[in-house]
Amino acid sequence: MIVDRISVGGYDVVVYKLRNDAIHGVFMGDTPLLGVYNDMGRALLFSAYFAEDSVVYRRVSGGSVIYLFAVDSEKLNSKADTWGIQRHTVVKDVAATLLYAEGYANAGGIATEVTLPRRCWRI
Amino acid sequence: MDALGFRRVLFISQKGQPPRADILGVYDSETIIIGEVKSVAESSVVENAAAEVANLLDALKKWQGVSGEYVAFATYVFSGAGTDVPNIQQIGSYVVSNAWVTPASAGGLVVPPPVDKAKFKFVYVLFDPASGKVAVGIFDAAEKNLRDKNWIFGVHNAVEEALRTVGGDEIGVLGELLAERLKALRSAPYAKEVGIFIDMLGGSPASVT
Repeated sequence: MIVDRISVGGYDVVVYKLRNDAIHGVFMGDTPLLGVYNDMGRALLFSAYFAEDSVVYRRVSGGSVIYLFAVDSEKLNSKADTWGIQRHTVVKDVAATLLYAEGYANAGGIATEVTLPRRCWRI
Repeated sequence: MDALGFRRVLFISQKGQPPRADILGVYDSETIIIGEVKSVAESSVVENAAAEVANLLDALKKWQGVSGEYVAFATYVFSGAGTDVPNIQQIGSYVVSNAWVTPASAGGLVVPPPVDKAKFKFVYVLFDPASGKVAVGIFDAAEKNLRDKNWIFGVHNAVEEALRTVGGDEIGVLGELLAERLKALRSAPYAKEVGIFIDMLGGSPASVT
């Protein structure tokens, strides 16, 4: 069941529910480009909501690169809550968006779903 | 706590022993655990965490053997407005997740294309929910670096410093950068991935609607 659909960079990004999970998909027409369990798709999705006015700064120091930008926390949290996704997940996806946009990873090359389980967060 | 209200959170490792709250840094590459250093709870929780992290490392090593390169991705969200995790709010910790870019992390679905650029990039992310600022640090890393607590300290400090200040070379708007990348994707031969995703979706996009 499709629960949301937006356009990002000419792509249709679809949020749908599969079984009991809120999952995302990125489609071009009817062709899925990115699929379930691929966080890049979800990154695109979230980016569409707040990335349009997020100016990115880049600093290069030696072999390291640090990017700095800001997002609308309120909007970000609102979407996360609406879709039943944890807020920190959204932040991961924002960073993943940047990694993808800057060419550090290919589509399908980022998955941020390996998290310590909730019980471990207390450590 | 530092000036931004961040607590120091480091990779904590153990070698045949449960993680200890007073151990900071990465001591070996066999087991890495990420945690809030002052709030170790029940031993059972620690043991579970150790097992989980061991699985993570195992998965990471497997992919490393396939592609020869990986990106480690660590994210920290701070207590307060930016987190919805009750435990974190209770103890004031801001450690919420640690994610590694590996196909195993995607459930062993596919081996993704290799990372485009240099090998062994370590990505360290800080987010300040109050300001909405996100700092993403990308560092050249090697396994030995991940074992060096001073290196981890340096990574953290560099990203934290970036979060405190605004500046650098303005390179564009995130949405526009993304759009440019998507244009390239559109023209790339992604037939293989498309086929995989169709399979993942049950044979037809229509099946997921």
